[in-house]
Amino acid sequence: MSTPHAAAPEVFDELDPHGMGAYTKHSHHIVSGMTLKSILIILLAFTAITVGAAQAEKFIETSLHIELPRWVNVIVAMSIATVKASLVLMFFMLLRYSNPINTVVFLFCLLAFALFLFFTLLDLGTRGMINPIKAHQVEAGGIGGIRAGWRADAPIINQAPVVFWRERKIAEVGIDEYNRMKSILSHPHEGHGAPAVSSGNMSINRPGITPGLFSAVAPAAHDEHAPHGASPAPHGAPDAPAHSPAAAPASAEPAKH
Amino acid sequence: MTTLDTRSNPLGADVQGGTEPLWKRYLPGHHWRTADEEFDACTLGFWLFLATEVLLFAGLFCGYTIMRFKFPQAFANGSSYLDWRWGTLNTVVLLLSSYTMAASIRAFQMDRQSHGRRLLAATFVFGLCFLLIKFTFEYTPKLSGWFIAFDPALSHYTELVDNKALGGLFHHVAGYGGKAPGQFFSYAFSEDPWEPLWWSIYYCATGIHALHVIIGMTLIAWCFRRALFFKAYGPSHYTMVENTGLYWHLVDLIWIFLFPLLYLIH
Repeated sequence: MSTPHAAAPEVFDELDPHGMGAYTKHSHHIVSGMTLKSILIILLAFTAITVGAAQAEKFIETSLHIELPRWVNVIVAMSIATVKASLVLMFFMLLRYSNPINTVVFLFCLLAFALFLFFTLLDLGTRGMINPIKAHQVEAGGIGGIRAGWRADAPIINQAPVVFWRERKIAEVGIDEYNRMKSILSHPHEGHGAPAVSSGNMSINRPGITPGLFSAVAPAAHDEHAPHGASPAPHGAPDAPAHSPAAAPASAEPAKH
Repeated sequence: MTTLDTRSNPLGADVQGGTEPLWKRYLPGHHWRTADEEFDACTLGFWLFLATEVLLFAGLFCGYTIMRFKFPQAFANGSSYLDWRWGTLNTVVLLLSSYTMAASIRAFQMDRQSHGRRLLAATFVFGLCFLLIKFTFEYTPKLSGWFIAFDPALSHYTELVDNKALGGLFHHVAGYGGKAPGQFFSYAFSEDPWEPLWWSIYYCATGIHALHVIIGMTLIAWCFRRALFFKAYGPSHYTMVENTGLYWHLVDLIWIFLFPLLYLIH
């Protein structure tokens, strides 16, 4: 180590009354040429290993038709890279020989990076995950575990609330009365039905719903002048709830009513 | 009577009429007790700077992680356009340059001036090789479709060569180019809608890395000049060449991670 605990200086030094110099004086370490050459050879060998591993994975998947889990590729490559990086840090960047505070600085920086990645992965890795306890309550557009009303003993809705309350109202008053009520209640205005003016939201990319984007045939010509009510997916038309309520939450358009 | 502070002034050699190399005449700043303290402080400061550099690349790696998580197929497709052989060659070149850099510091520590300078020059040349390989065989064909005549990949596309330039030095392959980042993307044969995103990550990561290679080469050239004209580095003073070395090794360190992440995924 570069900060040996030295005995107190025998001669009093005015410039260094506490003898702190003993903690900073050290001879600079000269790494032996053999060490440097060995590290280079090990690094080159690990490069060959990581390339070989990637080729082997490719061979297993394409020739042997065994599908490896997706993480194998990343874990193998990153493990080897970490070993290589440690060697560079310890022997080429002299962390093994220099003041330990340098190592502390670097490890702290890696800790910050790890936190950064950890919380990102925590979010990304669990987006498709449904807690098994809540699984029976999960429904597209659902909130999960909410009750039909304020009473504590009201039944739990195992459905999107939008769909639940619509179906209950239709069962209560009948579809014709429902449509009549709806036509009065949801007259087109800001936020309902066809927008009167163009909205900034219309320019947001909706990848994945452009028909024929990646198909061999040319996409159908888009009629920009057609009124919104005439588009293939009518939103806000007065008779919108006439279609099957069950299909509503699965539709690509967000439920407007 | 010398009151001029000549310790870091190369012209001091003339002022004092001495022929001592600069590293022997160097004195630490007056606010340091010992030269070792100054060296430690400089190195610690440089490690703090390296930490910020790592965090710069951490943002890129995090972006890579998010995008690869969300669009794995685009990344697998995108990576398949890269040739792992060029990536491997560049890795070897950078590892060799890291070795010559470390060996050069060792040579200066032992006052082997001309050996140290040769190793510095070798490091510079390896850096130049890295950039040339990157720009000639990777960036240029993918962006524009223009291959240099002796590019081994060109043999696959001889049927598609539709133009030549500079007396046949460059061959243009119809349809190959346009693999540009984001909105500049115009490659017509993609199979995944998110491939432009892959190219954004690829050019951002390798471009910032290449910028660091250029900065590192500039520092190495500056060290070489000081070593050549003033013998600035020796056993008792080599802080600048040491810190330049640290910077260069960091460039290598980043590439050690970029290489498998970009070239070896499938």
